[in-house]
Amino acid sequence: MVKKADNTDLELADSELVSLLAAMPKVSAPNDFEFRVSARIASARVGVKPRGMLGALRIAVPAAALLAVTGTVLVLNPYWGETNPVSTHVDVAVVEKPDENPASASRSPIEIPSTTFASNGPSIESPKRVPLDDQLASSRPGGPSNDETGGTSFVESGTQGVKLYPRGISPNVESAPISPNAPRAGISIRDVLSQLGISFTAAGNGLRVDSVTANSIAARAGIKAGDVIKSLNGERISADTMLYGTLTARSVIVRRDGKVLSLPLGR
Amino acid sequence: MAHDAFHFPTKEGSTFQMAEEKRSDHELIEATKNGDESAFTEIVSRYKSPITNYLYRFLNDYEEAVDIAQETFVRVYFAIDRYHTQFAFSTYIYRIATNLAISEIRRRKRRRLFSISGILAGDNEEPTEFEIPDERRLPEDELLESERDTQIAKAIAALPEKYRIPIILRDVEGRSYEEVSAVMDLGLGTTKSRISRGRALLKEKLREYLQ
Repeated sequence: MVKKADNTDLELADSELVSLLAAMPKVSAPNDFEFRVSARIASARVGVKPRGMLGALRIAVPAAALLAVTGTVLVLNPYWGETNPVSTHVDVAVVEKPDENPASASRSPIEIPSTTFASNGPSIESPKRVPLDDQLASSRPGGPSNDETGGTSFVESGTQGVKLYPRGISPNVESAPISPNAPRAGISIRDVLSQLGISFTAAGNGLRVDSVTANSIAARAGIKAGDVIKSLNGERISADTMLYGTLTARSVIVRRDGKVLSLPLGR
Repeated sequence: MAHDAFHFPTKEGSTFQMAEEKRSDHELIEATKNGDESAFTEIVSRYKSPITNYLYRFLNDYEEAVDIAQETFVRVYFAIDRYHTQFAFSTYIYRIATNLAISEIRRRKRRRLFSISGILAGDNEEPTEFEIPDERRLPEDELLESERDTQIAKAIAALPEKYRIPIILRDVEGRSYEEVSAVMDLGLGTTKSRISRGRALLKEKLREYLQ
């Protein structure tokens, strides 16, 4: 009761002002107030972030799907296989310089850049260190081999898989030893003497002239049938002699009737 | 409940009382929690004009008042699960509206880039701050106010917040002292003191309209 009396006294003291304030006109909300509130709620719902487990799932599920797709691509990508390593950056393949006598020669490693590997994709493998001797053991002597594509191939197939070497910098070019028995392009002495107009048969210590073509170089030089050719341009020749490079026949030495004659050619 | 029987003055000055057969605020809140959208619409319809009028007197800007009133109901909707029925819903929604209005006033102050404050000689218990009144005209289509009403509105809008809020709630909206203290989260004595101090300030400003 005391409280009510206090309130009443307070109102009475300011009764005139209270009446003035209470008589102020009231404003109303606009007619579309409910609609605008509903629209705001709908708009806020769109922007509300999901909470709890639902919010976590909205992040985790797309992330897991992305990881799965990425992993599948990585595993199934044929360009990233084991036997087709590729590189987009400068790798270094270390090989050892070959020697003609590998057993006695000291081995000094040389480095060959491997930036031009025949590939079409990025590398996911570390650089391979290929000993050159292994390469040489499975390659043919005499330099790089020609592959089926017509170009110089530095891909060697061996029992240990495929080894790759940079195109144009094949270690075979300068390292493969040249065998003395290797077949070389040349011209036989028979062909040479035939062009001079001489047909011959092998004699014990020379080439016995069987016949000389009329008006040939040999005929003009005075070579006659029955002569035994001992040398050409001062070099001893036999029936299996092969000549290399360019040849200018200048003179022949023949034995005729026990005499040795030097007959100049090309007169 | 007392808050459900609250009388809302109408624009014409008459009063209406919510029919007893209508659902109470708490019943509407529970229905809204259970997904009844029409129940929340009824809450909005029930409180939209009192909240708009309260904010209009507080901000002295009708458009801002409507905007903040709508935002008030949006906040209520999304926080409805955290509302406890041991508190009167009217107190709850007035407090939300008050906090939003205070934030709006502070935003206005930052926008204006200046403020004036001073100490008002008077009762020695609390310093008083002056605020620059909003000189914008009231919407004429909403209010056909007399010159007296306009001056009263300006005087209210010029009151410091701590006096303006209880004066509007008590003397304009007609809320009880207990409700006003609950909205402001102050003790009853402090609330009455502020109301008394606010009235004193108003009487000085509205001297010509008082005998």
